Amino acid sequence: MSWIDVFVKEGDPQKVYGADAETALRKMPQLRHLPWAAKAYRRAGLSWSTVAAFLVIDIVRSIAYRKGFRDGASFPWQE
Amino acid sequence: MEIASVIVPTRNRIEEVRGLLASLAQQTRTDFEVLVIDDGSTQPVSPVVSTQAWPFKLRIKRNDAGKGPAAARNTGLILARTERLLFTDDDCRPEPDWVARLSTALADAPSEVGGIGGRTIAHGSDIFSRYYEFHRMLDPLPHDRLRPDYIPYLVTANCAIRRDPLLASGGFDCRIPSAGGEDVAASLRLVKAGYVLTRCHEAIVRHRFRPGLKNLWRTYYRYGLGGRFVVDRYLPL
Repeated sequence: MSWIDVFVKEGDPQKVYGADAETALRKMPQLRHLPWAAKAYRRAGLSWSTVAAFLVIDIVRSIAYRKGFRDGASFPWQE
Repeated sequence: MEIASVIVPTRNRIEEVRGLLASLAQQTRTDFEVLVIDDGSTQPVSPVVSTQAWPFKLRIKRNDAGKGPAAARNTGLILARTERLLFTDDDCRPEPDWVARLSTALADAPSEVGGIGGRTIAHGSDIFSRYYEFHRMLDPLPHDRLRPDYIPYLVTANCAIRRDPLLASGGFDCRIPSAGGEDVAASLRLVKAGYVLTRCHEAIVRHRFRPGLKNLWRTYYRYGLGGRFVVDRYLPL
């Protein structure tokens, strides 16, 4: 699952269009979702050590993506 | 006549390219061409891999100045001699029936289908590979419950695209200088041109995800950058 899935997982492909950066940021996984992620990992049968590792990866992934996404607004794209 | 053109951009990863070509040499079919686009590698790829005999037709094109994977794929798009373009990356290892399955799926698909995504799974068993695999990170989710084979975008690690529609829609957006978002942008161009994207789960590629938090950070930072470009340039009505 990638970032764009947050727009389309609700079933309407047209939601891909018309979205903006603020909506995107709002819909991206948040750090406050980690307890739910931990529960989902446990329900999938992962060990506690794997769950802990996955949560660390979740945090790094989330912060990195958000930073890239925010920096992208002022990135010198070659137009 | 070849049935498909496999397009692979690469930069400074000769051993990875060699590994990919070895995987492609194991394909059940050999009547396809492979276009390796050397995107300004410090050590040119051509002298290293073109001395070896391959069962498929290998063509190597070098861009002296690194222009990024989007521009490299566009070079492949222009040079390809077939209508069916298969995309993968140098750090991917396709299963032996990958070329046959994807090219057949595209040939058999109705004309409204612009591209088909395969299934990308993790190559390793380290914690990062397990994480990518658990989240099916390079596997787009279907966006329509009534049409579960339709997907909203393609991932260039593993997909097939019809050449003419991709050319007509502008190919890959070269304004994105690094890997991340350029495949989604090309997909959105196809969708906007009226094509649909489907998937072929039997066409499998194993992706070698780089382990380590630093690599994860770099990858997702890049994805975030590209994601912002796509949101700002492609998503507004």
